[in-house]
Amino acid sequence: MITLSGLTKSYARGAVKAVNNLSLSVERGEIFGFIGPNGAGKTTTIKMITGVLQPDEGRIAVGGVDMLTEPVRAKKLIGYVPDNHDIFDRLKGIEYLNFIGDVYGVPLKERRERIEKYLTMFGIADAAGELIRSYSHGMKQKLMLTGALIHKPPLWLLDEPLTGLDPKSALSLKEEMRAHCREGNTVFFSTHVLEVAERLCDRIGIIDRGRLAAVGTMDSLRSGEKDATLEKLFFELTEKPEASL
Amino acid sequence: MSALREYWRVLRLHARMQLGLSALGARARGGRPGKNTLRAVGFGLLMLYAVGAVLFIYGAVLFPLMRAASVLNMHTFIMGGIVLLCMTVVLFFGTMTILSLVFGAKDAETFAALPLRGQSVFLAKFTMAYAIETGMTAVFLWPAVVIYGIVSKLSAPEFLLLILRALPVWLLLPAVPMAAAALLSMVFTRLSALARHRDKLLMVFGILLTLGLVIGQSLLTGRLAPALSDQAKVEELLVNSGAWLGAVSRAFPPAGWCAQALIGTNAASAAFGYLGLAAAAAAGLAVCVLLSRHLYYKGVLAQLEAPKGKKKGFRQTGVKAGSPLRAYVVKELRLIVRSPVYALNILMGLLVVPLMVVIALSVDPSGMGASAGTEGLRAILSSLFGGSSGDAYYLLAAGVVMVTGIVGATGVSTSFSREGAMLWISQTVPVTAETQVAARLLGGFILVFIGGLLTLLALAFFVGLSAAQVIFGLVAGSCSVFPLLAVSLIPDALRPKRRWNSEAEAMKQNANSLLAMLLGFGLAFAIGILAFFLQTVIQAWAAGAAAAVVCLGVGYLIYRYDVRLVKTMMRTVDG
Repeated sequence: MITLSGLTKSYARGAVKAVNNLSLSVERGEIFGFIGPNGAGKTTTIKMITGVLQPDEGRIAVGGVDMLTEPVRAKKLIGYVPDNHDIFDRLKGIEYLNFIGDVYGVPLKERRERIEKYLTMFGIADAAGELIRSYSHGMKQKLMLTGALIHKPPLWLLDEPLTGLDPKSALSLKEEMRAHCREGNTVFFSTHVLEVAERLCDRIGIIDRGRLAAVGTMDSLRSGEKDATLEKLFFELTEKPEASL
Repeated sequence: MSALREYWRVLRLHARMQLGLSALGARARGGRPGKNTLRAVGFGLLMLYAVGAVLFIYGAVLFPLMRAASVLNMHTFIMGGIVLLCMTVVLFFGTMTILSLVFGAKDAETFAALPLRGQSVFLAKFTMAYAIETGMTAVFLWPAVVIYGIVSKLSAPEFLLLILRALPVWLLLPAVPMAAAALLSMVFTRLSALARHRDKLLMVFGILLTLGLVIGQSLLTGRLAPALSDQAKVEELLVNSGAWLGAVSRAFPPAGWCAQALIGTNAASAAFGYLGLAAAAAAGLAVCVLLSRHLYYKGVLAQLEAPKGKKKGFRQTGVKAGSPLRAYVVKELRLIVRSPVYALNILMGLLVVPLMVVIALSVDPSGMGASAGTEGLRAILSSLFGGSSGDAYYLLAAGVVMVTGIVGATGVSTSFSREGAMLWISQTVPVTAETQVAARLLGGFILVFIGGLLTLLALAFFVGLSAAQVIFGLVAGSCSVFPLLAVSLIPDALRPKRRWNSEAEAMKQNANSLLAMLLGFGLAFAIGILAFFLQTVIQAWAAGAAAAVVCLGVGYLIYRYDVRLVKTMMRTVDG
């Protein structure tokens, strides 16, 4: 579903390589967890996959569609939730969802059903007619999640989606992620909550200083160490000196 | 920490943030200039050109006016009028700036949580707003001072003295209107905290402020005009320029003090002016600081609270479907009308044009009869187009819509900057650049069309435009608005404001609206010249129609260029 080949992105006139020659493939029906320390390059990678940032080098394909040459087709396949809560806050919740429904071309019947389903699931159906600026941090997150899900995209691209969610909504989202993958779709998400990644993901990628330090299933990452937790592996991999990466 | 130290620290922080001093420092330390530095230098030069162009146009209008007035000893009167205009402009825009920068800033909550006195934070933010308005005053005041010196045929030392006298006047002139603006804003935000529909109330406040200022300015100017029937008074004014200053003082004392300090004929008069101005400024600012201790945080934090209202759930709202183009247009319009800062900056420009037409053609400050403005307009059109003015009304009607297009282009020229940090939405949705550009132009066009229609209706009422002329004006004018709006999008597509702390910053800080207006003026000037020359060889309506067709072609080419820029921008700005 996602193919990244030799992805590189620099900031500050090339002085800082946020992502360095990253190659990765995520299959259909997979929940992929993307973890790494702050500033490791997770958000930059996700932004490149969504088309927000252009890589300096490398290719990105989403569902076989090249993001750089056919961005509109590729974007149709993605439901994206960023790690910030910058949203049109002078729109009402329902107006934002209608806007998203319109730009993704979601038919009215499906739109109504899905909006009701997700708003109820996240417990914000009562606030749908309110201006977004009156929403709390968590409510905005839930609204953005609803917006990312209503067109039922084959790829969910979620940048720290559990931040700000109450336990019930977090659980519902995790169940929804599993259900989405069971239908043959893909979820790619970043998180700092290692327990969630460990329990939820089919495969995990650990990024550090712009490079992919490790990728695989939990079992393959343990590589023989039966009792090793993701936390232990994470620290072992991300505290290596730069030269060994 | 003393209040003064607190003030200084908060002010320094704001100056660093808003002027980008930290970024400049980092760039300077970065050694070899990179692409961004060169781009910043290029833009700086462009801004210099833009400000230069504004000053040139203003000077070109003011110089002949003041030179003609000096023959009748009336140039002091013009200078007084300019001082009065500066104060009115500062009161209006200062109120908007204070409401947004001081009371609507996103960082208000952060400051409220810090152990800082309310008045220190208020005063620091107020100082930033004051600096902005002082800059705007400079654009109006300094060219007038220089032109005044030239037409008065001052010697070099006298000229230097005039400049030295003008310096403190320039710095103090915004004090009284800014104090008034701060008081208005403080009381208003405190009262609005108790209201349910806070934003709507703010909008009504803005509309009343605009109406009040336009009408007030007109009445004050009327009071400046001498009673032409009183011959003794006219004779006194012709020989004694001090009498003009007296007239300005009677109209609005602080403006009179400014004018006296600036161009008073003797030392006593100038000293009196400085003292009056300084006392009024000190008194106004002292009241603001004292009140801010009690009102600032209450008002500012109330703006962050969700307004009280009836909860409207999913079942009470409608799920509607439409095209991506419609979705974008509706989103643009909703975001403009729901933000008081955007609405006042964008819609007021559109409402002020018809309002000015109504006032110019109906209010009679000089006692020459209410139809004087109408007759004057007819005479001007007759002399410009030769013979009957009726034919020229076709071009006039189209021209009026075109001017509205320049004034109302702010909605388009700040479109991406207003999205700011929310631009990631436009970057990630599967909507082509063509549709996004078209939607932004269409949203701006709808607003301009309404403004143009209102102005044409006012002209139809006062000047007697026929239905055919109004319809022609709307159609041909709309065609001419297309390239004007398209060209207005260029600066914002090149460098949108990505992060802002208040909505006023999104509108003004990157000066895209100013650049867009200048581009619009240049294009409108070319269109106007084309139409004018065409009407010398073919009928006026045919000339207007031909110009409209040319506009459509030019507009399409600029639209394609916009699309290219937006495609690049969407890939390169970090959302």
